[in-house]
Amino acid sequence: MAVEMTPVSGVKSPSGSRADGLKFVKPWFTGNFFTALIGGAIGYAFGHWLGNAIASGYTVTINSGYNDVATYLSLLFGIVGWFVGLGALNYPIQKLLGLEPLEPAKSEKRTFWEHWTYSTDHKVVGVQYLFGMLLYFLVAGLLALGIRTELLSPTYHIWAPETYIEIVGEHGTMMMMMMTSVVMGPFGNFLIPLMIGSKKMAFPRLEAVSFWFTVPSFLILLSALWQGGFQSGWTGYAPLSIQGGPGQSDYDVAFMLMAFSMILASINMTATIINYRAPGMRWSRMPILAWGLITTAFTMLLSVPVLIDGLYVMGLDRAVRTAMLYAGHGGSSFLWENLFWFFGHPEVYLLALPGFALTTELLPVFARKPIFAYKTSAAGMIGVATLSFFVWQHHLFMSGMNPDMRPLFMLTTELISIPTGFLYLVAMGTLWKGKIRLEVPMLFLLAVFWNFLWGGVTGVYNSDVPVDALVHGSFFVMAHFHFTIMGQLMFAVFAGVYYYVPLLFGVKMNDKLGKISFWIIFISFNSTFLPLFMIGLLGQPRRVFEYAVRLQHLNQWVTVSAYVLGFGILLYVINLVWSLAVTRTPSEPNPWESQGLEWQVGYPVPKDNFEKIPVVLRSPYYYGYENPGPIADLDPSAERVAVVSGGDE
Amino acid sequence: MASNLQEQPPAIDEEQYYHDAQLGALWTSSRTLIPAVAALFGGIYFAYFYLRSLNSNGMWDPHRITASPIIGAAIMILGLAGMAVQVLANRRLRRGFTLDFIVGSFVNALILLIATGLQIWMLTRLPFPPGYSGYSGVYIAFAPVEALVIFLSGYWIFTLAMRAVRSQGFFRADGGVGVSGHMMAENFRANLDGFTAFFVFFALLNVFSWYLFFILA
Repeated sequence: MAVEMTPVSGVKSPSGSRADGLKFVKPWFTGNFFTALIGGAIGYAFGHWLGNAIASGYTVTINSGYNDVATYLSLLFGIVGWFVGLGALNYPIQKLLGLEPLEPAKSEKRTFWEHWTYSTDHKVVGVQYLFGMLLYFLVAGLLALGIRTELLSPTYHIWAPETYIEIVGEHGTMMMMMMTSVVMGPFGNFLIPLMIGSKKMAFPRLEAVSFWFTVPSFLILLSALWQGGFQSGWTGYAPLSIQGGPGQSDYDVAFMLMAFSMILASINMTATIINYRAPGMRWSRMPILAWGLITTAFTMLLSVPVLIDGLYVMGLDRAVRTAMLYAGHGGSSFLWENLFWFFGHPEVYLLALPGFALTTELLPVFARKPIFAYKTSAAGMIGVATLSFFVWQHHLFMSGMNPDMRPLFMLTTELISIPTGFLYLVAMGTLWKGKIRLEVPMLFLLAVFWNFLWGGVTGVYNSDVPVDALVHGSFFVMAHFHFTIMGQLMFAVFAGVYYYVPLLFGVKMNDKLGKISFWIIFISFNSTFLPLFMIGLLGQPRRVFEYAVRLQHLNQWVTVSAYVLGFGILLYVINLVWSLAVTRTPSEPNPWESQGLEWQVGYPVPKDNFEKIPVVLRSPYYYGYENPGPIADLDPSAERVAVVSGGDE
Repeated sequence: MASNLQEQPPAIDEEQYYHDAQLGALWTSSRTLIPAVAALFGGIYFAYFYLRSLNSNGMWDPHRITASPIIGAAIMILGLAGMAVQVLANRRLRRGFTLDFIVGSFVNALILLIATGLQIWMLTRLPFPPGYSGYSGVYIAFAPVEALVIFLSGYWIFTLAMRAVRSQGFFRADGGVGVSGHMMAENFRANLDGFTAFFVFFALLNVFSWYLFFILA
C-alpha cells in the first residue's frame, strides 16, 4: 500500500545533499495520451498472447470458443502498458530505488498540449476532467437517443432485441459509472485549492492518476458495444453476468478502473481539504462545495472497495470458474446484489451530494443572500452520507429478501428524506426574500429544485414496499432516478460550467444562446421524463424493447421530447465550444460578483494560485451586507497572521 | 508559523506551512487507507459469512476441506513477526540507530516477500478446484487480495528503507533520520508512522482472516 510521499513543498534540493547521497531526481520520461495508447496496445497484445498461452487448451475455452482468461489478462496488461506509456510508473520505481522525485514544474500559462499530458497541475487536471466528463456524458446521451428511437414504435424495430439491451446497458453504465466524478473531477480538482486558499493539492500524482484511470475505463466500456455488449445492464446481476461474453468482461474491468479512480481522488480530496486550508479557513467558513466533496470522498472511501469486491467476484466466477454467484456449487446470485448495492445505493448519493453542494455554493451568488442555515446544510450532507450506508437492501425488496427485513429498510430509506429535506430547505431559505438575478446559471439552479421535487417525492413512494411492489422494474422507477440524477446533478453541472467558464478560461459564454439552451433543456427534460411516470404506472417495463400498443402515443411523445432534449444539450455544448474556440469574448475578472476566494485570483489563475498564502478573514457568503470587507488578505502582514492564528474572529 | 518583521515580511513561512500540511496529509491518507482496506476485506468477509450461512445446496464446504492450514498459519505468523520487527526497528530509529532500522525494515520487507510468495504458492496447490464449493470460491477470492496487500506493504517499507539508506550520510551529523529536526526527516517519520499504523492494522486483520479460513471454516 504505497502512499505518495514526496515532499511536494517546502523541501528544496540543497546541493549539498546530493553530495551526501540524498538524490533528487526528475522523471525519466513524461508521457501523454498518445504514448499511453501505444503502451496500452502493446500491453493488450501481450496479455492476449499470455492468456491464450495459459488457457487456450482449457475444456471450457474449447467448448465455448471464448477465452475469458485472455480477455482479462489483455485488459490488465493493457492498463499497465497505458500507465507505463503515460510515465506514471516513474514515481514508484524511483521510490523503490530510494530516490526523491521532484515535483514537475508548472507552466505559467496552460497550453492546449499540456491537457493531453500526464500533468500534475490541479488546474490542468480539472480541465482534463471537465472535457473528459463532457465527452463521456455526450456519448452516453447519444446512446439514450438510440434507446428512445427504438421505442418510437412497439412493433417496428430499429435494433435487434439483444442490441437494444446492449445500448441500454452501455447508456446506464456509462452514466452511473463515469458521472460519479462529474463534480469532484472538474470542479473539485480545479477549484478546491483555490477555494480553501492553497497553492496545491496534497497528492498531485494521485490526482493525475485518478483522471487517467477514467480514459481507459471509458474506452474499454465503449469497446463492449462491438463485443456483444453485456446483457446484464448496468447493475450486472448474476447469473446473466457470469454467462455473458467478452462485453461483460469489459464492463467488469471498466467499472473497476473507475472504482480505483474514485478511491484515489477521494484520498487526495480528503487530505487536501483537511490539511491544506489557509490560515483562517475554519470549518465554519469553508465553502459548502468543499463540505459536499469531503463528505462524498468519505462515502466513496467506504463504499467503493465493496464494489471492487463485487466486480472481482464476478471476474473470478467468469475467468477462474469459482462459483460464488452460482447456487449449484455453494454460491448465490444474491451475493452480487448485496455487494453491488452496498456501493450502489451510496453511489446515488455520491451523485446527488456534489450536485447539491454545487447548487448551494452558487445559489447565494444569484440570490445575493448568505446561505440560509449553513451548518444545517453541512449537517444534511453528513446525514445523507451516513444514512446512505443503511438503505441498500431496498433494492432487494422484490428479489427475494427476507420479508421481515423490509420494514427496517423501508424506514431507513424514508429517514434519508430528512437530511435531504435539510438541503432542500436550506436552498429555499436562501432564496427567500433574496434579490434574485435570473442569469443563466441561476435558471439551471432553480430548475434543479423543480426537478428534484419530482424525483424526491416519488422516491418516498418508491421506498414504500407496497408501492415498490407495484412499480418495481417499470418506467416509473426509471423516471424517478432520472429526475433525481439528471434533473438534479446534471442541471447543477450545467450551471457550474456556465458559472466557472470565466474563471477557467477567461471567457464568457453567450448569454442569449445560454438562455435558449436552458429553456429547451428544461422544458424537454420535463416533457421527456414526466410522461414516463405515467407510462410506468400503466405497466411498461424497463429494458424491454416491445410494449403495449396502447402506450405508443405516450412513447412517441417522450421520444420526440428526448430528441429536443438532445438538441438543447447540443446547443449548450456548441455555446461552450464556440465561446472557447471562436468568439473568445473576454470576461470581466469576477462577472458574477462572487465573494468566493477562488474568484479573487483573477484570470489566468497564477501558476501557484496565490502569490502568498492568503489569510481568510470571513465566510464567502456575506452577500447583502453593506460593508462585508475582503474575504481574505492576499498579502497578509505578520500582525494579521498573528491575529488569525490566535483564533480571533 | 514563523514571522520575520525585520525585512520584507514573509508573514507566513510558506516552507514550514506546507511542510506541516504535508505531514498532516500523510497522517490523513494513511489513516483513511485503513477503513478503505477494511472495507475491501470486509466485502470478502461478507461473502464468507453470507455464503456460509446460506449454505446453498449444502455446498458451502461439504467435506470440510480447507486450504493448507500450515501455510495459512505460516502467513499469519509471518505477518505478526513482520509487525514485531518493524515496531522494534522503529524504536531503534527514534533512538538514533538508523542502521538498526534499515536492517529491521529490510528484514520486514523480506518477511513480507516470503509471505507473498507463500500465499501465491498456496494458490497453486489448493486441494480443491475453484468451483468446488462456496468456501473454495471465497478463499480463492481472498488469497490474491491478501497476497497483493502483503506485497504492497512490503513495497512501502522497502521504499522507506531505501530512503533511509540514501539519506543516512546526510542526516548523520544531525543524529540520524529518526531524530533529526530537518523537514526531510520529519516527512520520513510521518510516512513511517503511517506505514506502521497501517501495518499493525493489517497484521491483526490477518489473524482474523486466518481464524475465518482455517479455524471457523
